[in-house]
Amino acid sequence: MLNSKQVTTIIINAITVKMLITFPKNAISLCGNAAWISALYCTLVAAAIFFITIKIYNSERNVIQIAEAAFGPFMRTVTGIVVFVVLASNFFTVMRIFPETIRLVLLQRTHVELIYAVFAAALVLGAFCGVEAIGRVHGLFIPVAGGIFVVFVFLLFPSMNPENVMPILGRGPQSLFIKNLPFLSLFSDLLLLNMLMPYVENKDEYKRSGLKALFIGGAVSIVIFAVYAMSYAYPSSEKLLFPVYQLERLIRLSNFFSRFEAIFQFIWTITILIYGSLYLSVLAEVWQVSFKLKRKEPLILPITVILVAISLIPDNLAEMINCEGVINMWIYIPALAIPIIFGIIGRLRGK
Amino acid sequence: MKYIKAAAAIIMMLMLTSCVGEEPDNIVYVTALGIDKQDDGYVYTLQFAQPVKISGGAAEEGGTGGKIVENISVEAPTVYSAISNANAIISKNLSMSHAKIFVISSEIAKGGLKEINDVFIRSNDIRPDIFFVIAKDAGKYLENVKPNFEINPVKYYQLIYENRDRNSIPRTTAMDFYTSCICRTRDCLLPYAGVAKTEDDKKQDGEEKEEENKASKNESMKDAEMNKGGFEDSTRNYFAGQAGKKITNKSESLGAAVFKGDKYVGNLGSTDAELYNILINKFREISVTFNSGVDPESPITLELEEKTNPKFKIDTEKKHVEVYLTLESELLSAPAKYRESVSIQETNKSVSEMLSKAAEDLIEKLYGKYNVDAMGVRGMLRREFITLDEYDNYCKSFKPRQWSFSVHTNLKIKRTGMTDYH
Repeated sequence: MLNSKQVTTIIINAITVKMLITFPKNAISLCGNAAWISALYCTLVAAAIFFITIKIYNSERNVIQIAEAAFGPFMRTVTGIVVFVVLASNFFTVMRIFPETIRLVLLQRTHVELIYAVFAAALVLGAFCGVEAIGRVHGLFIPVAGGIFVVFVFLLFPSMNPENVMPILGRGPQSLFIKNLPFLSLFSDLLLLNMLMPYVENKDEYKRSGLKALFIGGAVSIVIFAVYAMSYAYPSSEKLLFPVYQLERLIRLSNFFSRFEAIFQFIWTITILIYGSLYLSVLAEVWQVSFKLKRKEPLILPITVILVAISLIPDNLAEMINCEGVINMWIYIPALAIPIIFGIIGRLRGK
Repeated sequence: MKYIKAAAAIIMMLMLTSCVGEEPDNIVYVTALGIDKQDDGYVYTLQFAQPVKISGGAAEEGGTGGKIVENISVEAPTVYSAISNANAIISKNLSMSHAKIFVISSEIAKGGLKEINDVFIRSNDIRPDIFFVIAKDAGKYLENVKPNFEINPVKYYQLIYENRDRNSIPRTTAMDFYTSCICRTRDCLLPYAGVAKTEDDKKQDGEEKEEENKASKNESMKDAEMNKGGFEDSTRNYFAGQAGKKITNKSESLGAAVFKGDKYVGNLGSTDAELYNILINKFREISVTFNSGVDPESPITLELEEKTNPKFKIDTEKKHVEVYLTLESELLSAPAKYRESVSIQETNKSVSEMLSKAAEDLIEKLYGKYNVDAMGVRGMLRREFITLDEYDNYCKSFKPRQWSFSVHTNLKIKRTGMTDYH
């Protein structure tokens, strides 16, 4: 079983980890330096959707278990496959973007294939440890990462110029509130939370942890966008591929402290490793439950290999980032709608 | 599972306990890079630290251990191909991670720095806080860098270009320059560097020259224009290479290179650069002389300190900007006749007027003569608009020459040193 702190930190990490890589770039391209307003708006929309979900969702089972109870084994398998595809789509881009980023900023002389292999191996190893063990690491590590994040924001004060967030509405209200709705994909990991239902003590824990994580994750993304917007004027801000990394490079305390990115790279690597391990473990479990298999462990390695292979389809990193943008355009719809749909089905069928 | 854990432990022990990639001993760190144009391409001068000379051993022997930097020049089309070419000459691998300055020749800068900006922003090696410096001859400047007091050349460049107490050059980092070129929120001023012409330079090859570390007379000094009346009274408005009277280190960084976007359009002298730093509040403390009005030979000296950021009031209709400077100061020196006849209040008033006048003249030079938006009016205009489209539309017709400025200075002497005023 996962306790409240572990569930909350898992979802906070799942939401914020995307902010550490290329997610902000696509958002800034759409709404300029007013992306922080869009982040605030989408956090409120996601909170409203989650609030509706928890009002409707009256079960202590996850959506696959509800599908089985309501419609039998066939629908369990179909639902399981849909959930698997949604979660895998939300995750596989990390399998390419993270090793490529590490190659660019940290291990410039290492073969990228080796980085892929070591990264995948680390994720597989983590996934073998199981959801509860990964949850405990989240509970230990994420508060430390949070503390470092606060220090990081303070150290960036000298580089910030509040005038850079002007004009206040960026590319305009339509871009902020309509065109940038795909920003909700930042919160598509709420489906992951649903999959963790069997590990959560009770339904109330699910609600509490979900809301808490959503607001903290939303607040972190708003802060990252605001700090980035104040540090880099638009349109130079939309040209940089890894916004948070670029912010780290600005930190400097006189002549005795610079290169904060060394600390960042440590935090970044651990958060992505525990995020990836958890995702692989959950994906294997979804497949196991969908097909009523005895064990999930033998599935971890094949799933990893398939995801790495899919992630290698785009020709280069720029194409991969575009691909991530395309996935973000739709992924939030099934991710946020599936729990609502099965919540309604569960209520109607009394499951 | 037991075997997997054991295998993981062994792999980690073997892979995570050493430097993967390159040993530090195999790297030589570029501290400065110069780019000059020649008829058929570019010449890159790479300056790197001599690890043997800057290590403890040299200092223990007494002195700096001789020449702490080494320069090599190669012909190449881009920065990284220059590094590749240089690696054919020196045994160690060159790294840009400790580079402090890129010195760019004024001839290249006139054509624009888009390519250099692109190299800078793409590279993960090059730090965002390096400086682009403009010089008439970049290679010559680097070859003449002979720090007198520093053992480490990086420290030398830090003290020259990053020092907040050194006000005669603008402190614009390469990242500031890059963002200003992309965003066009302001036109930048970059530090200007040069080499002094000394008596030695006139001597022919066969003639006996001064010893290596003996000071020689700077012939260029007399070319600098003397400020008369007002701000920095009786001080020369030096350009790089004109400052020292008798010098050993002929390389100097003084004044500013004015840019319109990424193109170099003109120069400002040292006192103009000081004034510019005051106007954008990029200084900590600065000692300035003002005309005393009673004795043309003896100006008064104040140490200025800016307590708040300057305030800008923009009138978009009339295209006019009101600048409000609030400064505090300490009296450092004043002629006896002045102390007897002029009160502190009168000094506050006259000095404020002199500073306002000098600032308006400088802004007129920047906006009128050079047609550059060095005060960043375009950037400040962003707050006047709600959306980027409205702002972009307005900026399409933005011309710096159409804007006028009034500067209002409120300068108060708060301290009079260790003695009474009269």
